[in-house]
Amino acid sequence: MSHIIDVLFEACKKREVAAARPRLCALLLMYKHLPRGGVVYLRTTAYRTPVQKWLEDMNGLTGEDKRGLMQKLMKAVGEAVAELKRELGGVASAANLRRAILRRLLEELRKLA
Amino acid sequence: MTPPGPARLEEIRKFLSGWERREAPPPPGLYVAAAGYHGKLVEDYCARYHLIYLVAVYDRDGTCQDLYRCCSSPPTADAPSRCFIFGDVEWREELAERCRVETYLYRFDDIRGALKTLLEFGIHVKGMPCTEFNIDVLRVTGWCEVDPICCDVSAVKEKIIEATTPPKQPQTQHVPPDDEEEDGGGCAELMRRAAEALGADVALLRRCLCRTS
Repeated sequence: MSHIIDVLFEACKKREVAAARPRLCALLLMYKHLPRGGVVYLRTTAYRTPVQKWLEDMNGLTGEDKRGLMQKLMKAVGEAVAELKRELGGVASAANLRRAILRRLLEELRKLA
Repeated sequence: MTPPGPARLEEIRKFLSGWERREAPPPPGLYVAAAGYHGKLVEDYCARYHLIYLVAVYDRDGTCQDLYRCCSSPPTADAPSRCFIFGDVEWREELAERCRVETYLYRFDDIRGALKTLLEFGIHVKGMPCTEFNIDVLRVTGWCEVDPICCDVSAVKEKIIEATTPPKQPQTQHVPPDDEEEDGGGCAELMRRAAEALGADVALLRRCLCRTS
């Protein structure tokens, strides 16, 4: 699965994919930023810098494009974080968070299948 | 590893009714889930919860007297193991010092049924994503047909990439130059009026509308 996550995350680095599938891409980003162990404080703002970094890696984006995409992706991250908080609480173990994100990722992929 | 809440505990209890319970570590067998856990996490977990193992004992002929002991006997020719195990973490001797453990055993006369039961417990009761199960288990139980995404997401990957690639327009599209309209100037006139209405440059508007790639 981790190989597929890497491949899909690479696809999300294309502006068209990120714009068309913000939830899928946001979940992939969250999955990629999971620590190996310990606990995670679930906060939307924790993903702001990774999203910004991700947008910097996209080629050919104007400032306007970046702002629009940033807004879209952060909205998707915010929604995912809110759902995860409802399920796991504000502080979750990395293992539980990993499973919860993975379940959502699979749901997203099922919609596309 | 998901600490079970009260609702989930009830579900677990319901699922395990009829299973033989032992306060002992799991016997030798084949684990069906591939997820591994950090040592430290298991310690934290054990400070608060029991470790629970489900053991599906494959006993086609009904010859096993003691299900627990049966797991140590050699497997039959048609099975890779006598016992198939689902647990939060693969059992290790050192866990015995820190963790309280419960093992539940059940007799099955076919492997597919045994594995499917463990899979259903993992997915529906424990909330494990299907991808954390061993791919062979998913295949044998027919789970790949029920939920293909658990076994292969390459088709979806192609779809994601395809859906966002702009379709190529036919190369044969003919763009008439300004002064060569075949319809007696109708197109040029329309372009001029549209450009006027939009306050745009005619040539630029034409280039935008007639772009081929």
